[in-house]
Parts: sequence; C-alpha cells; structure tokens
Amino acid sequence: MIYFQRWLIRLVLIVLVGLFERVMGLPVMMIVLTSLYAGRLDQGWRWGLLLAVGVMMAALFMTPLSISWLVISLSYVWSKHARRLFSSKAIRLIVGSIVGSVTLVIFSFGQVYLQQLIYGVIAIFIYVVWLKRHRFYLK
Amino acid sequence: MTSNYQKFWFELAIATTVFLILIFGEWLGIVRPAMSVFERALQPAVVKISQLVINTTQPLVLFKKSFNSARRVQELEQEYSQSLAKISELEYLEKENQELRRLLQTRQKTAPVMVAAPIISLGQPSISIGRAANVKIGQPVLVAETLVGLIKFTSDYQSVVSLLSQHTAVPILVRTESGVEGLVMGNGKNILFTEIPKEAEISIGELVVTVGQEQIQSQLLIGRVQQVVDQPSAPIKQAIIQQEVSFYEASIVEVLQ
Repeated sequence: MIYFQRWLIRLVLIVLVGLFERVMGLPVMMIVLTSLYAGRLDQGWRWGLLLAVGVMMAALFMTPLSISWLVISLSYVWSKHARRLFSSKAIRLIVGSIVGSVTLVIFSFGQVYLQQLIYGVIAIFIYVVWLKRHRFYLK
Repeated sequence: MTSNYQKFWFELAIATTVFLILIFGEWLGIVRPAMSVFERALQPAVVKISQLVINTTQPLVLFKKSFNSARRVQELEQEYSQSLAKISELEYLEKENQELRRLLQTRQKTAPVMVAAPIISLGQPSISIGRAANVKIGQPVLVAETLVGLIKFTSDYQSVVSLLSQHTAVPILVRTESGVEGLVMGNGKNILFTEIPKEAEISIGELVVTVGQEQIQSQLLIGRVQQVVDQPSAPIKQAIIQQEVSFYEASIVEVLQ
C-alpha cells in the first residue's frame, strides 16, 4: 500500500532534482529516480507518477508533453524489462537515462552540448556508485 | 517468464495509448493551456535556482577575474580618460540634437523593452518570459545595453537565447567606430567579427555596433575588438570581440521588441 503523502514526497523530490537539472541542461537523474520509484509502486500510482513527472519535465525543458511522456515511460519500461539485453540494473538505468535525456534535449533545443554530456556522465557515475553501496534499494 | 513477457506488453501498451491520447490532445490544442499553467507555476522556482547558481559561482568568477585585475584597472583608467574627452563632445552634440528636435517637433521613437530574469542552463541559456509577453524568435537580448544574443526558441513562459558566441547564432551585420563593416558570429567559444576586407584597417579597442537589420536595431553595442587575426593565406581578416558583460553573470536582461 502506497500512501499519497509518500508518493507526493517522491514527486517533490524528483521535481527538485529536475529544477537543478534545468540548470545543468540534461534530466538524467530525473529519469533515473522516476524509473526506480515507479518500479516499486502499484499500477495506478506508477502511471500517475510517470504522468506527473512527464508534465513537470515538459514544463521545465520546454518540450511537448507527448515527447516527455514517451521518454519517461519508455525509460521506465526499458529499465524494468530489458533484462535479456542487460542483466545489470545499473547498466539499464545508465543506458535508459542517457538515451532518454539526450533524446528529450534534442527534441527540445535541437542539440546537446558537451558540457551537458559531461554532467550526465558525472551524475550517473556518482549515482551508480551510491546505488551499488545501497544495493539498489532506496529507502 | 510468460508473466514478465505479458507485463512488458501490457506496460508498453499503456505507454503507447497514453502517448496517442496526448498527441491527440496536443492536436486539439487542449494540452497547451494545461502545460502553460504548470510552466507558469514552476517559473519562480526556476528563476530562484538560476539566481542561486549565479550567487554560488560569483566568488569563483571574481577569483578568476582577480588574476588580471591590475592590468584591467590600467586599461580602464586609460579608457576612462578617453571617455571623458568624448563625453564633453557628446554633451554638445546632444544639446544641438535636442534643439533640432524641438525645432522639428519630433519625438524620439524608442523600441519597447521587456525586462526578464535570466535562467542559467549549460549550453541552453534561457530567459523567464515567453510568448505570453509577446517575445518572438529573433528579437535581440541585451545585458547592460550590450547585445548578448537573440531569441532562438519560445514557449509560453520561457525563451531560449542563442548567445553571440554560440555556433548557432545568426550572423549580425556590424560596424566599427572607424566604419569597417563585417559580420558577427560565434565559434562556440568567442564572438568573431568576420568578413572584414583584407585592406581594412581595424585597431584593438575599437567599439563594434550593429548596422541594423530585420529585428535588430542599429547602434546596439556588441563589444570591443580584442584581437585581430590576419592570416596571410586567408582572403579576409577576422577579429575577436570582447564583451564587458556576460549573460551568465547578469541579474536581469532586456529584450527589445
């Protein structure tokens, strides 16, 4: 049973990360966090979270809602179901978030700059190290 | 295994269905007003975060600048004395101009200015106003009356700015104080004053202003010539323009309509 307050706190956390990532220019962590959180929710809350994050992402990164939805929902589906291609969850998250965020930024601004990619790689590296320490559990 | 396979197709079907509904909603035009509300609601937070980033990086910028501060002060002192000489001349011309205007009974036409807060983003600098404030693509963006970029893309409450130093910047027709004309464009790092005829004389420190073209008024300051690049094999000369202001350090920017 997931309570609404808990769901809302997670959404607020993702939006705060999204605000920071608007400055960095690449919503890598937003996608990673959403994929991780959504995987641990019931169906209704899961799609609600994905839609809410999609809306926030579209508002922050000036992209059509359909595109941000496609990016966030496919990133989630990828990180959850692509076990045959990549058995490691960390690799699935890295691939999903990098490809998803780069696609979103290209749709939004037309191009991706090197600084943004450097941020993406650093953020993912730090996060994966942190995830490994916590054995992929977020409490 | 079959269960996972079914789950995958079920979730993919949900994602595709919602995507198609959103596409339909966007086509009907009912998604945009809703998105506009969220964009507006997030705007203060985005601006605050940007201001926070500017304030956080300020000591670093000052530290970086302090290395050249002694030389820079000398240069500014020299420029100041030159400026004082010009001011007296300009004051006389202004009086004369006002007198002529009075005689002609004309009013000075000034372009309306919109003030906005910059939103800092790596590679994608933006400002906090958009289509709702009548911002259009191609309009000039100024910091302290210096042209720093043009509007590249707009949404309801945000606009992306193409800085002059970026690759994507539209070429701008400019002129120096001595009358040498050329184009200003970015190379990703510097603002280049290019297409200067080989025989043209251009000196370091000269002011560069716009000539005037569609959507860009004349006499907008771009900066000063910092370095002249004259390669013997090249058919034209190039110069690097230095700007005294930076979009990333500004607390407010102006958009000319």
